[in-house]
Amino acid sequence: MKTLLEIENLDIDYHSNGQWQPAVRGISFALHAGEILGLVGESGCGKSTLARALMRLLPRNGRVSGGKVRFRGMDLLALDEKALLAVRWDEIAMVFQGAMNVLDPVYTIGDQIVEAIAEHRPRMRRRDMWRQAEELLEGVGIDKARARSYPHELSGGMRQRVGIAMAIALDPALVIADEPTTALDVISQDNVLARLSAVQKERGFSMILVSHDMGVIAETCDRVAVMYAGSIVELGSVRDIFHRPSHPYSIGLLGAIVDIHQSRPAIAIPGHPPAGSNRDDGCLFRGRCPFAAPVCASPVPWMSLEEGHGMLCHFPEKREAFRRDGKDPHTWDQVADRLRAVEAA
Amino acid sequence: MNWSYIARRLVYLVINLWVLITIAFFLFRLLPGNPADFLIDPLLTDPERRAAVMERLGLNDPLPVQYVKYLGALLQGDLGTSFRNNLPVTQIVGRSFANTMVLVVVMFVVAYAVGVTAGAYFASRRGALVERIGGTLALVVRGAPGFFIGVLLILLFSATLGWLPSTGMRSGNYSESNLWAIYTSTDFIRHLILPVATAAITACVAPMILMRNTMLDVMHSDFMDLVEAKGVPRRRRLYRHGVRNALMPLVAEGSQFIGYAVGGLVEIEVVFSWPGLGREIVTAINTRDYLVAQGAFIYIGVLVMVVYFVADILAAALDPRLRRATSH
Amino acid sequence: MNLQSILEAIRRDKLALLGLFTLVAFILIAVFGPALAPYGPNEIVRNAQGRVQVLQPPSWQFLFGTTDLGRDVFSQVLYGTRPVLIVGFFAAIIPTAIGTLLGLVAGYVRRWADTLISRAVEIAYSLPFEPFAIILLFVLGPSLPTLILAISIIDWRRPARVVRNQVMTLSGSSFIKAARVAGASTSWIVLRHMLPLTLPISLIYIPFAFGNAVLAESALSFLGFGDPQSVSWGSILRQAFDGGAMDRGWWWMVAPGLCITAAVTSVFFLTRPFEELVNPRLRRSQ
Repeated sequence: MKTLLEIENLDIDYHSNGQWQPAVRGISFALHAGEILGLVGESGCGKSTLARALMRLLPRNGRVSGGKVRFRGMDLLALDEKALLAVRWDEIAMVFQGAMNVLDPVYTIGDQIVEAIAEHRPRMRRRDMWRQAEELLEGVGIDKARARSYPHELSGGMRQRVGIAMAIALDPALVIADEPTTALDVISQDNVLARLSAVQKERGFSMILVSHDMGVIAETCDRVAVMYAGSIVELGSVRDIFHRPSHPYSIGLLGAIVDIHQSRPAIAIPGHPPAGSNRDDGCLFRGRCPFAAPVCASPVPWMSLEEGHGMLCHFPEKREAFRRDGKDPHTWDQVADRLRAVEAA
Repeated sequence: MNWSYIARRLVYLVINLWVLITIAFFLFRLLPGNPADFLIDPLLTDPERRAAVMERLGLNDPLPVQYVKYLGALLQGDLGTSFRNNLPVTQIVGRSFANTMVLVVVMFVVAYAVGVTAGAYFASRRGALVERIGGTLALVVRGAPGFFIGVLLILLFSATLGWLPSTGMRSGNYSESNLWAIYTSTDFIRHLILPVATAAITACVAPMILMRNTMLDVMHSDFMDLVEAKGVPRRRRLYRHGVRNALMPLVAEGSQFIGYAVGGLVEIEVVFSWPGLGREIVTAINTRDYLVAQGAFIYIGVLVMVVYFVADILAAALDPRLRRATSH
Repeated sequence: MNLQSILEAIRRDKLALLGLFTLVAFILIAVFGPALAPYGPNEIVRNAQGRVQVLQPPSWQFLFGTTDLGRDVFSQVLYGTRPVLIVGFFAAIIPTAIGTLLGLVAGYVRRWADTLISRAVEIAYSLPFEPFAIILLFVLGPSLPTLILAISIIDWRRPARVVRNQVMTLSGSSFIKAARVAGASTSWIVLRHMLPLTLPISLIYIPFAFGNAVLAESALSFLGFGDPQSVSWGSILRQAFDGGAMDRGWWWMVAPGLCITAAVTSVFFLTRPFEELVNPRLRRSQ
């Protein structure tokens, strides 16, 4: 399979409180043509930061402090302004979270889609561009007459679908979907997700889907990367992650999903991820991990488990035990007790 | 274009105008002593003749009746007669109105052009020395009284350098009679420069600061990220999306700025002896020519209200979200 | 947002510090000015030979020079500080208080109260200040209280509008709804919940109101409608203007004018560190 995107040891920092603090550390993975990779993790784990860094859209107080990103052989981070503008949208596009605010309120949605097209296909006739915009809207289930509507005249779900239509306008090779369904109600979520999948199957682009919703990931992705405190703690196919989760954090995350067929209660991982200023070289999860050992304070190696499945942990051989014990809420209660004891001290 | 929105603004305009003329009616009747005194030439002291005039003008009628007559007269365009020179108030005030309008229009254009450009410029240079100096300077200018700025300009350009005249609208040896020629002659323009500069300097600060703040807001809002992600180059982003969105609040607040600026024109007109509405009010009051003062007051009020109305419509035209608004 | 953090914020911004010192200086002058003045405000000064010191340029004896009648401008300015600050202070507090109150009522009670008050605000915005104030002052007779009144009648509009908008936004928030469901009365909600939240906005408006009031007082005094009993900077400028200062004695006009500018600008500088509080998005761009 052709490799589209290669990320090697990517580090990203944020500037806050007068200093640069780590947000993302040591991200490495490869994405192949036509593949859908899910980036999952709790709020603040760095998945959105990573997504933005790929498009070089970090805010003013963010910077890439190490690593390489190769897209179709190009060094993405080293591209000059002109080349970057050309690559943007034409080859890598993004579906943003919360489409409510992401569309310019003073232009019609048709105009905004046309703008994307016009920027990269200057020779096209305006009429043709407009027609293409209408087709794109129909492709996501929006009546083409609404191309002349303004963003505030559409519902949240519709606006998100406009975002999808706009993202695929130039047939990019890679689409990054940053929490595309998070700000929507459940029914719209379903709708949007279905559209996104359909469009991806139809056009065959690769996708990085960022979400904190395991259900969304399970439904759509081929491979999954679980992120915690700025690093990928487990990476594998969607079967690997959901049927054979190996990292204690992944196990905990999955345990949080309520299964109405089983009668066991849902699990909540006690505690919080460490803030950027509190991160050291050891395993960043050890504060909340039920299986933490003294060696976890030292730098953690990436362990390969099966073909295409790996995790960031000192104890790959214990993963069956992790899985078994991790299903039991009692295991996690012990963590809660431990944290409480630490706090009281 | 949403007609019901325009209709509603029109209704508000009419209501506001009505309140304005009612205030004008009652303002002068607050004078101590016989309220009727104000409508009669103070120089007319013979009691018999006064009584006759009072009868003729209907000043013995109860207040509500006077009010209705006043409204009636206004609707017919009758603002009374000046005490000083027996000319209809509308004629005197009309002339001053034109002179003030010239000042207002030119001032507005200059102030906005400078303010918007400077504001956008400062926004793009946020944090740099230029922006901080500019910001500070803006505050100092905002803190200086309009008439003082006028005085400083006169001291510099008139008294010291002698480049520009300091008073009036035209020089003594004036000969043009055609209205268009009057307003476009070099002499007129030379006289116009300092008053306009003064007014524009005081009036450009608020739009400049607002533009800068709005641009900063807009350039960092979420939708700009999307535009940037689409590969739109920096300059196009700035104008097509940044400025376009930033203009909205500027137009909305623009009416307030004009209101504020027009309100402050009085002192500038006095400093430069510019024969406009502002100066007219002051001299009318000082010479007890009350009807002229009332007329000028009404004219200025109407001017500001119409400007507000136009600004509201413009704002709706620029921002699609406003056209459906059911409340302001 | 306590006093300590406010002072800390001011200390960090050099211009705000400058503004604070200037303002304090003016306040001290307002209190002690007359005692510090070398001459009386209307005192005609003669030199050793008995000649009236007409239109003297600034010197060590006459820091701001003298007028066309031989009066010391510096002394006049010192005497003039008090009325200006009195008007500035009261004509800032009163309209802000009224405006806040009306804004609270309009924003929370809505319906008829909002319609009425919003119309009034719009009309207040439409009335051009100086023409209206001039007529009002003429009719009522100019004095410090009427000056304060004239300014207050117009200046309440801004806080009213801003507070009203804020209250309307807040009314929709969950904790207010919860309070209502719990049975809290309207006045309780307004006083206990809304007021503390809108107070920062009102308070931040007071310096601007002060600045506007000082500018307004100066303008009205300059136009001849100020308090005839007191010397104010605006009235000094009036006399200077009429007395031909522009041709013969620039110091006579420049000194009081600079004082007005300094007083107003110092207040604006003082609010600079808090500009970001009112407009938090300015922070993001740094």
